[in-house]
Parts: sequence; structure tokens; C-alpha cells
Amino acid sequence: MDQDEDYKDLFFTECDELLGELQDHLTQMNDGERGSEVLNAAFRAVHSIKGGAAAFGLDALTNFTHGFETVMDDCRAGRVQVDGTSLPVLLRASDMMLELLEHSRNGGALRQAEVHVVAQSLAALAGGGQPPAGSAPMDDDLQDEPDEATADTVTVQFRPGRTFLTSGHDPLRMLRSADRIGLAEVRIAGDLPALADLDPLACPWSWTMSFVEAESATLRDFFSIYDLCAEIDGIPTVGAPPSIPMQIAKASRNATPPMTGLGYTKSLRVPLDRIDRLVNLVGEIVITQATVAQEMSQTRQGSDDMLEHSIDALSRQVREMQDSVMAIRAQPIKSVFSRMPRIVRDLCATLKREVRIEVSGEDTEVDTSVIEELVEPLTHMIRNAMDHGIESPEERLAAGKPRDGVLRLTAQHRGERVLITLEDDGRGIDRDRVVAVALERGLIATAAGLSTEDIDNLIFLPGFSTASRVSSVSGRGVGMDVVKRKIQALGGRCLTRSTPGQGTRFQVTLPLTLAVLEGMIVEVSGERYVVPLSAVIEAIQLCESNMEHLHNGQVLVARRGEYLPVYELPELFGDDLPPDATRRNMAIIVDTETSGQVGLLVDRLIGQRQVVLKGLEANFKPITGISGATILGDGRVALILDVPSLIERQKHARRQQPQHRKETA
Amino acid sequence: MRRVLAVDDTRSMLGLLVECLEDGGHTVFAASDGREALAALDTHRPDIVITDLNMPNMTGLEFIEAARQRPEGRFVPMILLTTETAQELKDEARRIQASGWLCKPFDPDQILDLVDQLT
Repeated sequence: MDQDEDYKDLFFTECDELLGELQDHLTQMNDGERGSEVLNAAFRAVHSIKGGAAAFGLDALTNFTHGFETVMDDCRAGRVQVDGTSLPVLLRASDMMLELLEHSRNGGALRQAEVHVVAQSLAALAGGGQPPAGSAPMDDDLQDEPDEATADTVTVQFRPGRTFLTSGHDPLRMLRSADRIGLAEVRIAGDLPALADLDPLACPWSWTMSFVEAESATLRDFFSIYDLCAEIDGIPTVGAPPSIPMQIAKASRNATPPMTGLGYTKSLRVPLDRIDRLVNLVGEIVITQATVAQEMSQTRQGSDDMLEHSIDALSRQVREMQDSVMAIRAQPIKSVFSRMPRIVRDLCATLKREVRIEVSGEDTEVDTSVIEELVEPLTHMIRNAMDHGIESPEERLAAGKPRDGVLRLTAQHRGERVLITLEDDGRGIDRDRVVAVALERGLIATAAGLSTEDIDNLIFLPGFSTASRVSSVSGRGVGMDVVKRKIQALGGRCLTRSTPGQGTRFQVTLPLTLAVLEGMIVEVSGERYVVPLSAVIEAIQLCESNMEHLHNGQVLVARRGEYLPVYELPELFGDDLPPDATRRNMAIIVDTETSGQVGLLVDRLIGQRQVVLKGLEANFKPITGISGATILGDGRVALILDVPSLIERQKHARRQQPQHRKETA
Repeated sequence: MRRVLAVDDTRSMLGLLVECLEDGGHTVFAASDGREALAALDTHRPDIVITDLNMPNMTGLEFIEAARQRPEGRFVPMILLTTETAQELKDEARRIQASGWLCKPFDPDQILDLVDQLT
């Protein structure tokens, strides 16, 4: 069976899911949830892993999981209390299971001593404090037993129960099969009832069956299947009796748990590069379709309803196809988030912190490529928060805070982006120190004019690290700048906001996908640009009455009682203002997330369209403020604007300029 | 060659079971919970059923109990293949007229022998 390896791979994948679920359930228990639902679900996860591990002959994993299962069963039956004593053991056991799983999957050294220690603490729990009985032998004994006890003649008494026939058994079939394993003679015994009392579906008699030269194990295999529906005597026992651990699962009858929406969904595993090929191809089709539509509309004179209708339908279907293809790549962010509680637990031990993590929004779906790249920055952010943000329990108590710190990790969709927030309730960012360090390292020239928010975000600058001691966790000088670079590489942004003494919040926004974008196409001085539609609030007509000019040249536009800064695109690019600048009479209002809403002067709106994003990095080089390019329906290339970073750049440039003047003055 | 209905919610286990039976030359129908199994019983009229116990939607026990009420399932051998060993569950299996109780992990030869033996 050469496909066994495939099933083994599948089993490992299932184990990953099951372990993730188990971690979730244990975390819930840790948070005080003790309902039978969660206990049953946790038991079931362990139980399923054991079953699979045994089936694939993964002995180390099986033995360990068996002990774990016993304890989980005791927990759900109430024989073992889920409390401060047992929970740490369960959590460690789940970690150990992960380790054993990795060992089974990839080989490598196994920390036998640790496995043994955890297995013993599990056994101690299960035994209610009795010395560990060691891991119980598994059912494989059935196969491994020596067959030395081969009796010459064995006589077996076989008394079918009243349900023998209705349970799907057939005496004739049984006797024929028994014939194949050495049945020499069969005699019928018992009294026949009066014909009137005879129940045709019950078997009132019994058989005495004599076997010659039949191996005990064969006989036992043969008869064991009738255990439920017949009484069987006379099968010789071989060595130890079949060691089916009767005591393991004293499961209650309603033990089969109602699973929490984890219905079986059929799935197919496909290599990612095949999907990428499809995504690319669909992207090309979208462009071609747009081109065709545009050419049609130009060459065609008069109206042709049928054609127009077909083109509409085609573009709708192409769009749907694109959505479906993108959905293939989407997966819940859970696969990343579920690893975080474990990281927090490990760090608690290393850093001597007491921290619990609250995770929400795990079901938020994000593109696979984004998910994979998210683990590292997120881990780093958590490390940073635990190392620098959350204080030691003593410090917290002294500050009048609860002993254990809280990390809140959330994900949610916000338009075409996903917003990931990590909040801690630690000491907040020490702004004086941040400014001092930034000045010392020459990262900023002066602290004048920096808002508190600006200061907080200094920690993202390369080479910034306030950790005076180098810890093994986060203080190696590579810090939040790495996080920021990673996030930016994903087309995301990150910023932080801190309240001294109360905590820090990191916000990361990421595009849902790196492949397509819903965009507003605008024209500025004859060039076309794409602005991500998710950021566009509205478009407004400009006239003298709703515009204000500040003395520094900044133009403001009045919109429903508030003034928003408006910018010329060339100005944002760092060019001189074109002479036709004042003639623009339209602005689109864009939300920058970081700098509030701003206006962008344009000549006209072309329309909104889904565009296929082509990265500049691969074909040219990364440019701040441009997140990529796309090919429009008419074959022209349009740049995709990243308005927030354009504004950031502009602000930065403005800040630098006056400073230079001051210095030179 | 027999028509076998294999039921398990764990895809890898189901895969192993199906493959083992197909290697034995049987026609196998697969279902991933009791509910699917019940539907398959009506559609495919298997000669024998091998089912897991703990499954979402409808457990192996519930499935067999329901199957025994139908003409299609009355005299069909139905084996529970499980890692459970609790006596209460076995008692329940007997009550609902399951044909037999087999412990996971299974030996492929044992499964094939069993199909031969019971059908």
C-alpha cells in the first residue's frame, strides 16, 4: 500500500488541526470555561489523535497520547478537577504532543526525559495522586503475541443471543467461515421450544464446535466479532488475556460530543503554485476582458444591445471567477493566531511574567501568502510587548495593577484590508527615553515638533532599541524595524499608540490579498493613476467658496464644516507644481488611517475597476508611495498610489525643510 | 467481492479503511458520518458496514440503531471500528444490535478476513 504515506501526511495535517483545536479548548479552560462541551471537545481531539497515531504505528505518540486521553476522560467525567493544578499539566502535555508529532513527522532527537516527566505528571493526575502506573500497553498486543499455544483440539461453546440474527449474523455463514479455520465437528445443543413458541428470529440452541490445529489467536479473532451477540466459552487464552484497557474510557453514554460547527467539509490539497498560476491567468483574463470591452465600445457605432449585454455578462462572470479563485487562497488567520498562546506561555516562563492572551477574530480570512508571512512579525510584536511592555508581577502589583498582564490580539476586516491589533496593559512607551535614544543614535535631529504619536512610532526606526540589557527574547537590536519592514513588504502599515502606565497598542493593516485590488482610476495631467477604492471616501467639486489657502501654501477644502488638506499629486511626488495646478476643480477625499482624511486633486474620474496588481519590486524597484502598477483596459500602465505613505513622505519632507533652514540660519 | 460501506469522520482513517477494502477487491462506499452513512445505506445497499463510533452529526451507534429500523439495514452485518472500550458503550452497541465491536488500530488482513467471515 504505497499510498499509506499519503494518508500519513493527511493524518499529520489533521493532527495539526486537532492540536490547534485542543490548544483552543485548553485556553478556554484556562480562562475559566469548564462546560462539558469544551471538555468533551478537548477529549475528542486527544482521542482522535491517539486513534490515528495507533493506526499509523507511531508508538511514542500513541503511548503518550493514551495517558493524556485517560486524564482528559477523567476530566470530563469529573474524576479529575480542571484547576490550577491540572491545567498546567494539560497544557504541557499538549505542547509535548506537538513535539512528539513533530518527531514522528520529521524524525530527529526526542527529549525522552521530558516526555517521561510529562507522562508521569499525567499519570499522577489520572491516578489521583497514586504513583504512575506507566503508560498502559496498547491493543497492539493482539498482533504481537506469540502463538506458541497451539492446542490440538479446541472445543468452543457458542450460544447465540436472541439478537444474533437481527444483529446481522448468519449461522450458516459463520459455520462456513469456521470451516476455513479448522472446524472439525459441530454439534447442536439445547431444547427446541414448542413450534407455536418458536421465534423465527431468535436462536434457542447452541453449538459445540470442535477445532483441530487452530491457533488460539485465530480462534480469538474469529469469535471476538460475535462478542456482542453471543456467549462464547472455551477459547484458550494465550499468555496475557487480550489487554484491552477496559478501564480507560468509562465514557458516559452521551459522550459523543456535539462538535462546535466543525462539520466535515470535503477538501482537496493542491500545491500553491498551481493556484498561483490560476490566479495569474485569471488576472490576465481580467485585463484582456477589459481591453476587449473597451475596444468594442470604440469600434462599435450605434447600439447593439445583445453584444452589450453579453459583454456585461462576461465581465460579471470574469469577476466572479476572480473572486472564486482568490477565495481558494484565503484561509482563516486562526492558523497563525492559534500559535500565539503557546508562545506567550513559553515567554512567561523565560521572562518571569504572568500574562494571558485573549484572541478574537480568528476566523477572519486572509490570503495564504499573507498568513505565512505574518507569523514572524506577530511573534516579534508579542515578544516585544512581553519584554518591554508588560511589567513583572511585582512591579504590576506595586503600580496597583492586577498581577497578570493581558495581551489582546484581534483581527477584523476593514474594507479591503485586514486590521490586526495587539494591545497590552503594560507600562506603555517611555517617550523621554525613546526621544533620548533617537537623538543619541542620530535617528532624529531634534525632538521639536514631534507629536506623542510621532515619538511612539520612532521605535519602528531601523537600529532603534531601548533595551539596555540584551535579553534572549527581544533585545538584540533587531526590533520593531524588522516588524515594520516585514509588514511593509506585505503592502501593510503598522503604527503604535501608547498611554503611559496603561499600555500600548500596535495596529497592523494588511491587504487581504496581494494580487488584485478594487481601484478608482483618476486622471492627473494626462496620466492615469489608481487609488485603492477602500481608501476613497468621496469626490467633491472644488470652487473658490469651499477652498482656503494657508500662508504656507497649504490648500484646504471645506467639507461639511471641517477643513481637509488637499494635495497636488506632483507635489506629493516631490516635483514642482505644474502651471495648470490651479485649474483642477475636483478632489477625491482619501482616508489615510494615519493622518486622517486628505484631498487629492485630480482632473477627472475615469471610473472604478478591479485591477491586477503587478509589483514594482520585481520589475523595477520599490518606490515609497507607489504600491504597484497595473495594466488598464486600453493597454496603458497606471501606477497604484499608496496615499498614506505619500502623505507621510510629504510630512516628513516638510518637517525636514524648516529644520534645515533653522540650522543654517 | 462485496459491497462495503465504510464510515469514519477522520479522513485519514477513512482513507486507510477504504484502501484496505479496495485492495481486498471489494466495492467500497465511503461516508463521513452517520447521516451520510444512512443515506448511503439506502442508495448502495451494502453487504456489510464498518463504522467509526465517535462522529459528528450522527454517531456510529445512532446510525446503526436507525439503520436497523429500515428494511435495507435489518440483516446487514454492521461492525463498529473504534478506539473506545467502555463497557457501557458495548452494552449500548449490543442493545441496538450492532454485529460486532472491533478495536482500532485495525490490521488490514483482519478486516478483510472479517468481511469474508460475515458476508
